[in-house]
Amino acid sequence: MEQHTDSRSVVGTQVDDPVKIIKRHSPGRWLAVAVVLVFVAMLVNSLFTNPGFEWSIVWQYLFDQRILSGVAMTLKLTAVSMTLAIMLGVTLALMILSSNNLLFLVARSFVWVFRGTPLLVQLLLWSFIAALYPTLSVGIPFGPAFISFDSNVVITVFIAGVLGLGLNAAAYMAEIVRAGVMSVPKGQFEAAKVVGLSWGKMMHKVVLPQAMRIIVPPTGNQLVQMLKYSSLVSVIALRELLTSAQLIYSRTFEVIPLLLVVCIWYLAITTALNFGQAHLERHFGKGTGEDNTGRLRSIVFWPFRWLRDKTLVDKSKTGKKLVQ
Amino acid sequence: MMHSTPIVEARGVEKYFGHVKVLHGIDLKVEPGEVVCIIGRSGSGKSTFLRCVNNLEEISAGELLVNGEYVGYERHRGHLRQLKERDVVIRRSRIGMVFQHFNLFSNMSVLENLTVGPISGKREPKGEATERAYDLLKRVGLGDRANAFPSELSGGQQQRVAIARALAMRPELMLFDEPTSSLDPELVGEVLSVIKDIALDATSMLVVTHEMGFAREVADRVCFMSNGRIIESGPPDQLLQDPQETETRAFLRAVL
Repeated sequence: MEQHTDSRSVVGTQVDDPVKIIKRHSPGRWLAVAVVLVFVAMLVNSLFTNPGFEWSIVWQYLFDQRILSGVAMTLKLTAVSMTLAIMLGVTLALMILSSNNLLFLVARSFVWVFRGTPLLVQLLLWSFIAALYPTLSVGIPFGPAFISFDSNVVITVFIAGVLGLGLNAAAYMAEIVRAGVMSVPKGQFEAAKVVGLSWGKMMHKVVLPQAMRIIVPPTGNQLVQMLKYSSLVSVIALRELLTSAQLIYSRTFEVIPLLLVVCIWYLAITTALNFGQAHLERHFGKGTGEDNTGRLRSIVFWPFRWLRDKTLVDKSKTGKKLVQ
Repeated sequence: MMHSTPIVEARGVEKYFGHVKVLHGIDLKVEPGEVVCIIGRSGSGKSTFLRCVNNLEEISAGELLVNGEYVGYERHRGHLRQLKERDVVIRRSRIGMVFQHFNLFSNMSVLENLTVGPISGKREPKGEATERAYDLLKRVGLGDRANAFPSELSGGQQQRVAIARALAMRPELMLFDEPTSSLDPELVGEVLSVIKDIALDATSMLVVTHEMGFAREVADRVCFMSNGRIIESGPPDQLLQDPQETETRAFLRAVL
């Protein structure tokens, strides 16, 4: 009741003895639960009884040096590509939203090309870029070059992978950021103008922080997708997680267990990313009185609730307040 | 008699939205310290005119000066030329504005709403801006809500914060765009009393309002607008009690 500090606050809203409402269970729901449980049981059973899984081999390779360096490469590739995608995506979105027609057209065309062609093809094109531009040079446009590089040297497999994944995702990020900025009410822009904020300050202090609420969830999607699509770079022979596993099973023929190793690692990383996303969503949700990240948390941590009850008491006070 | 520059001087201001003409030549002078209320039906162009004063809307023809300066332009070889963004921002920041829908920054606390303009816009020292923000919050009766977020406040409280936010910029002129129109009836009073309090400081104010009682009490002059024109203007007692034009009479009969 601490929000009622106003002098004309509502009196008597505090309920000392709340009514206990018992949940009603319908037979249909029980049936659905039973069916689902049977299927889950069958699945879990097969995991243990089907010898094809070869769990001992999975365990043997899970922390294999080659697999671990593959994981490291996957993480590095994803991190660098996503950084590129976010920076370029924000730039493209601002170009699309700008009043300058040329900037708008250039950015729209970029999105058109990179969203309109398959990622796999883009990756292959980047890795064969030397066939199209044998040298890359720094100099005066249409004039003399000061320094020239051999494309095959500059565009390593890693750079080709980053360009392929990053530029493709940038096209999607541009649309995500644009949607976010457009979701901010017009009045916020006007208010920023009348308190003397320049365009840059307005974006930084007012618009982007509010747009982030819309931007974060699809960006999390994009990141998870990027992580998994990074396995496509196996076609240009970059040794990330999947390629490392393929190199092993092409000699030992232990295909299924090694693919399981790959799945376990991808799942572990995406799980970690999901936690990060939930944290960001809570951070940018401040001031809105909303928290949509709590349901899964409350189920997963249900067995440990006795531990959480103590720590969460203070948080719940600052977290959720309703409009009076 | 000493001649001072009017705080607002509009001469033949016209405004088109596409092909629709919404302002048909507005002439209006507001002297320093004067409180002018603009009344009229919705769609009569009152708010559009107000938004032209601080260049949220560009005017299509005529001249509009605030304290002797164009807000968004400068004279350049006989033409009007757009100012650099930085200069527009500086000139606009001398004009406070309070919106119908408050438009508080929803990602900031009440205190940050008041200090972001002075600190990030005008580059004032943080301590000074914060101190003034606390004073202003006290003045609008919200000294204890500095750390709340706008979504935790009632409409009336939000609008009082919005007024304090505008005052935090130390404006030469305050614009109020129907400041009580989106409030529940019981919250109108607290906002109007804050505005009255500011008017006592001889702050120049241009107020678009539907509150005739408020206009009568606070305004030095009331203008009645209809179809993009100022039909009639005069001291509140005269205009509200004894309007000369039939249109004004019809409007007042409808609202009073």
